[in-house]
Amino acid sequence: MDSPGTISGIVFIVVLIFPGVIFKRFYYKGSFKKQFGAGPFADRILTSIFWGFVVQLLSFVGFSIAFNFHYNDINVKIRGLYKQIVDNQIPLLTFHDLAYILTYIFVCLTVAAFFGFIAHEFIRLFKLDVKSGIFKFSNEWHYYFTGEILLTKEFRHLKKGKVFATAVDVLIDNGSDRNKMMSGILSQYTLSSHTGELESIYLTASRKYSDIDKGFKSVPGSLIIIPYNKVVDMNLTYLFEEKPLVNKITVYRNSVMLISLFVTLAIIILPWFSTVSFGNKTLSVLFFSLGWLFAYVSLLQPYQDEKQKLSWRAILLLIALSLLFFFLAFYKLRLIFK
Amino acid sequence: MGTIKAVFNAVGNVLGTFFSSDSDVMSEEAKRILSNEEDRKIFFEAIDKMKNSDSHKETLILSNKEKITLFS
Repeated sequence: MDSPGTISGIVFIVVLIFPGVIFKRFYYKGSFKKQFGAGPFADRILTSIFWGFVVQLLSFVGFSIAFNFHYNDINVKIRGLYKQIVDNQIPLLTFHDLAYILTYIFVCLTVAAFFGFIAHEFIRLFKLDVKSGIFKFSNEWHYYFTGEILLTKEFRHLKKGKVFATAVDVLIDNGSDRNKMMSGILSQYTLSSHTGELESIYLTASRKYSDIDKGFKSVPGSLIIIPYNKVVDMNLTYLFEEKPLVNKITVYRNSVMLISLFVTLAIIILPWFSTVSFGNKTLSVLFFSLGWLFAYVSLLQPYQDEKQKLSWRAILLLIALSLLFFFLAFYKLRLIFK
Repeated sequence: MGTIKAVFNAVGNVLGTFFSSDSDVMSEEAKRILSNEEDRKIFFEAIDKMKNSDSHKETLILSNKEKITLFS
């Protein structure tokens, strides 16, 4: 190697930047995925380093608990490896060492992906991005087009409800003296991959204003695509469905989801504190996950739509499968039948 | 066999909601209505009435007799 700087650079990228990038990839998803690659390069690197550091901290703590080692145990080994690389020697790694390193890298990336995903879901479930500017995503159009903007304090005075669809009236610059007016139901929109700005809007069931008929006429076709750079004005009308925003179904579902979030975290983290082997810990996490998945599906049944409701036999089967996997998980952790 | 299939379909649906995108600008009910020719016509007539009336509220009776009340 030419210099310790090269090695440090590679280590920096692998240890800090890459896990941070993975975290952000899973955090910026869905309507907000364009934010992943947006912004100044320096800003993106800094945020990747920050999240990479958080991921490394969590991974190291978890890994050391799972494998019962401390930093001082590996400190000497890391220094030895580093010295060998700087002295242009092939590092002396046993198969055991290599397995630990590769497993640690895998754990890091899995932790990064998992926490990025959970962070996004948590923020969106509780609408923290709408209620607080700190968590707000940069794709403002999502909030306007879905009606979520009505939950912000600036629009509190406007009517609210469950948004059924968004009707759009647009004034289009068609290059002539008279602009063209069109309306329809918004079905989709696209953003520029470079700037994140609105690129096109897609209207279904669209109609065009006719000067001759002095009214709107249907436009044949399934979908009309309007480039945003041709739009002079845009008027959004939210069509609400008369349904209480918060009712017992919503409260029940959100409660089950919230409990599920905490149970999932407990399932994934707590088994690693036990004293059984790594294989048994991994299997117990898998069994707990399956057990909770079946339990979660059965918990959703009371307020499920008629079409998706399961029969009593199916619910009993879900409960039985859930109990079976929980039993297996406890058995693997040696908490029963020691 | 039908019970086992129903259980795994239910599990598949739940897993699908975990990984589904929240980028839809139209609700599932709206998509369902717009995919049915008869309901689509009822829906647009209701929107026209809402725009032209003072109440800005309309109850739709869909082809399956389901009632949905919309307001703007």
